[in-house]
Amino acid sequence: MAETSTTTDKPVGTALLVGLSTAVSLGLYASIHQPTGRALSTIGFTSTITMKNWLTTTALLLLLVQGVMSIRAQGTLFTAHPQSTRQNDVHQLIGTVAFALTLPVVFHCVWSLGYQTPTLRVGLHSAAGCAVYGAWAATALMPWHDQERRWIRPTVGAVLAGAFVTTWWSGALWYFTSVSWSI
Amino acid sequence: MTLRGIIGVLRWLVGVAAAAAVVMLFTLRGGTSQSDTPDAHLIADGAEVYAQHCQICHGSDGLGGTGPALSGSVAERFPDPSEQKAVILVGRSAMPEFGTRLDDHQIEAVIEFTRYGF
Repeated sequence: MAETSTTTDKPVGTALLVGLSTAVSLGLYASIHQPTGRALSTIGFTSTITMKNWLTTTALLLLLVQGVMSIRAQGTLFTAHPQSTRQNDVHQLIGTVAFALTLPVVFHCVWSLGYQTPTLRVGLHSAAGCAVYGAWAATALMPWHDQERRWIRPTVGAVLAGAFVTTWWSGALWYFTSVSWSI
Repeated sequence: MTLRGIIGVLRWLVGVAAAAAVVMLFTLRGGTSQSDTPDAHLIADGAEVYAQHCQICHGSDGLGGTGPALSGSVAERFPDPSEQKAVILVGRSAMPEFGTRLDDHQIEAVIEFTRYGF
């Protein structure tokens, strides 16, 4: 029994530690690095800001689908559905695509703008953005089947969802409702 | 290729992209015209644009009038200059859109002026 506990403790602890380190490192880098104020590419969008808004919104929609799948798998809101191998594969595929979509966004935020706190909205955006990648790193390394602590993976997933929605709300949604829905 | 195979390739590619992004964060420089080194010529051009189109509402000294104050607060309200550019292009509240009245250079210039010229 003690042996089982050790084997499950290690990956969960490591995942949480890596997640925390990722969030803190990102925040530290963004705070220390001198923002360049420049953009590398808009990949076809009319501006950097619209590119970031729409990529983030698309990623959010993908994460919503993934979240519903996870909730069904964990059975916390619906009936318990142990996730099949295929469901796990689809879950990972959606998460990977969503993560890929956010890479140009976080690169521009960190490299070009840095960690800023001039207003509550911008401060929240900076902090939540770092939390997103910390939670993402933790979920990627978290074991799928920890029978003793089934709550850990959904909890980290909920942190990821909360941080992502906060980042989207304080960035993309603010822009959509305050400035423009342009592409 | 199976779904798992596709995911494997995709994850590998995304991993490489993420690693490349981290390397670029530490190696890529912003160029010579970074936002922390204001361009004097651009600011001078921006001052003209500001006088013609903006000061009637925002005040000659940028301290506000019928429009909000800009002096010392633009960079805080718009950490990302492209956010400020979007507001100039499409307008907001009582502010009209300037996308049809100003060209790209004039907009870049007035952004530089409002951030560094007051």
